[in-house]
Amino acid sequence: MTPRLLAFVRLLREQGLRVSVAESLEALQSVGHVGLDDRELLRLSLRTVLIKSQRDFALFDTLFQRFFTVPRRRKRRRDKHQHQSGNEAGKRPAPHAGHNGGLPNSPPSLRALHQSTGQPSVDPLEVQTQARLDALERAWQQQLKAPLGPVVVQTEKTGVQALQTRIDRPFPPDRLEDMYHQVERLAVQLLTRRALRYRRARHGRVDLRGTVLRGLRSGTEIPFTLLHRRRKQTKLRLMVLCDVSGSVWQVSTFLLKLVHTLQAEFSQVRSLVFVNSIVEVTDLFRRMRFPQDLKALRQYPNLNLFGFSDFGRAFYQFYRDHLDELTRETVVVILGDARNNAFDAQFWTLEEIRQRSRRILWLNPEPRREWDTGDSIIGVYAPYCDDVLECWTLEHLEQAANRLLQG
Amino acid sequence: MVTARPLSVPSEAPKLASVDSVIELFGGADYVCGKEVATAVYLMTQLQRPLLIEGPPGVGKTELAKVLADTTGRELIRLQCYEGLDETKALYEWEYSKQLLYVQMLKERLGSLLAHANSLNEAVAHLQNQESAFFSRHFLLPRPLLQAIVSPRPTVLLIDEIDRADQEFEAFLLEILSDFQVSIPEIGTLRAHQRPHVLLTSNATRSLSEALKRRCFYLYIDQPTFDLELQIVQRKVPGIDDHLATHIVQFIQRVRKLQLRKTPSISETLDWALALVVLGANVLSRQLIVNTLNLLLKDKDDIARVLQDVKR
Repeated sequence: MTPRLLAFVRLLREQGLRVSVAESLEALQSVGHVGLDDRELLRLSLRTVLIKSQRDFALFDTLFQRFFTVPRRRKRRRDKHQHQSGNEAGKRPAPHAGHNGGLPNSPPSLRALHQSTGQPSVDPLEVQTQARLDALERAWQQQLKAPLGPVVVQTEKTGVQALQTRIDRPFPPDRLEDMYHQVERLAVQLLTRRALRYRRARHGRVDLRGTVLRGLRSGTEIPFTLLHRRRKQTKLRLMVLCDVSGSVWQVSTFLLKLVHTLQAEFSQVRSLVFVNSIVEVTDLFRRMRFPQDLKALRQYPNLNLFGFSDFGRAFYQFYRDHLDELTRETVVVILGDARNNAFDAQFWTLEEIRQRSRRILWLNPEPRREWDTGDSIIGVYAPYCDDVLECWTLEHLEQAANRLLQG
Repeated sequence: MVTARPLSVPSEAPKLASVDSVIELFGGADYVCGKEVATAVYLMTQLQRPLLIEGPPGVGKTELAKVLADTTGRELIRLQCYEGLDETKALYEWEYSKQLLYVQMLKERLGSLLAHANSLNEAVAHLQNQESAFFSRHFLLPRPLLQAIVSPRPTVLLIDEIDRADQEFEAFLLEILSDFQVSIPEIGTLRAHQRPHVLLTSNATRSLSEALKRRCFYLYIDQPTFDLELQIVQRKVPGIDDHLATHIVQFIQRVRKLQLRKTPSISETLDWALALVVLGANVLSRQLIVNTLNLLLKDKDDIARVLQDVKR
């Protein structure tokens, strides 16, 4: 069983599921507990031990089905063979039986198999069990030799490779969901790193006054506990302004996903989207149900997704309606390719916005060489922004998020 | 990478001897569960691993822990997570005020103890010898995690809504979950007599760290199927008419298919069914639904949505 199971684990890994060595050991142990007779039980057990997210259940079930299915025809023939040769079955050393020795608490069927290797057995139940095991063995061997056929889900790229994936090209739907998970993972990594930094920086100098006061309050003059001055950590407010027209829709949704996953790190996150006029969608994304909410976004009232991008008008509206809401702690993030379809740029509004806010960060989902070509007027807006960054890979997205978290 | 290190043989081993016996045992405690739940519980008790349970709110994640504690005769210790939860609230704290009180009460005793000390240094040295008296188990305030470790009785440790705690806390939890021992500088290392059964629940409001997931077994409890839900209603609502129960569950199952903000969970089904029984209903009429829908749905828009559907 061991090599079969390891092969299965390898298969899972090939399909992009992460299985650690410890987990595969646990899988072995669990098989030792539940046995092999009940396929459904085997499936549930392996799933419980190996798969740690409901999202991966479907893939796991497919792979399990594929890997652990015994072809019917073959099984019947072996059964017949077993019955004909009678107790001869026990004499033949079962393939791979030796591996079972490594299993703690071998289930009855396996133990039976073990014992039967030396002595002939006439117990029909035992013969049957053995026949079934043999059939399974053979089937697995077949499965191992046979190529797996078309890959069910694209393999997830890892590490640096994944970060360099271009996100400005539309993904097929199945891949898209995967990308959302990657964006989320990215956000979580950022949070973890930040939490570590926070912890180190949390304690400032000793607060002498506080320490003495606390000592007095507890009725003695002896200050028992040292109080430290807390470093004041002001959280920023974020105002995200995203172009969601067809060309940049996808990157915008990734950015929205990212900032809303990070929303605990800011005192407030507000999201506005626009094509030619702005709509506030903060409430929609606060609950963070990606990608279901994107569907809702597509049908959002007053949002004309098929219009022509008009940055000038959007900025003017922002200037008119939201300028009062900006504070010195507000970072304005604009995402767009600045392809203004020859409308009025209204760049003066950006200047006003910058005056009222802490910083303006512009993310452009186009590679730098395409800036200012055609109707792109990023060059007109750029002087009014504190940073203008490219944003067409996950890595760019991460850099942008880092910049935001730094304040 | 540590393999299972059983601290002692679990006493309930014969009780939870197979997946079917888990179903049976839980059924006896009025917790109707499917094979998925039973398999996960069986494996976690056999292999002594923590079990991470995810699923929509109200499907009985917390209840599972209670039932596990009840049926195995273990003590349930619960740690409710929230943002900002830290070690002093989760693990242990020195009972400062009690220490202080004792110092006050023992003032004279301390005085006589230090009376024959010639110098200040000598007095300090004397006091240092007595230090262990003040940093002993007497003054230790055990919080849930430590309770679970030092409890002489076997325990079920429920770490509820882990997704609400900070990432930092998750990392801290990893240490505890892998070894079940805690080092307290003043006292030493405390080790669990019996490894607790650990259940973690999460509403998946954020994804948990890979490291934590790797150490746990995983169970996803979804909204129940028709058959299962009917069984639960019949079991949990005594005296309910079979006909009514069927209608209620049918209705709920249909409501769940609508796009609602908050789909009703099994606990809400039970509340509703109980209310209907109290009202003495034996048929689920349209008027009755309209009158009692606010027990089932807690959102204005959702109620409107369902009412619209009912009218059709």
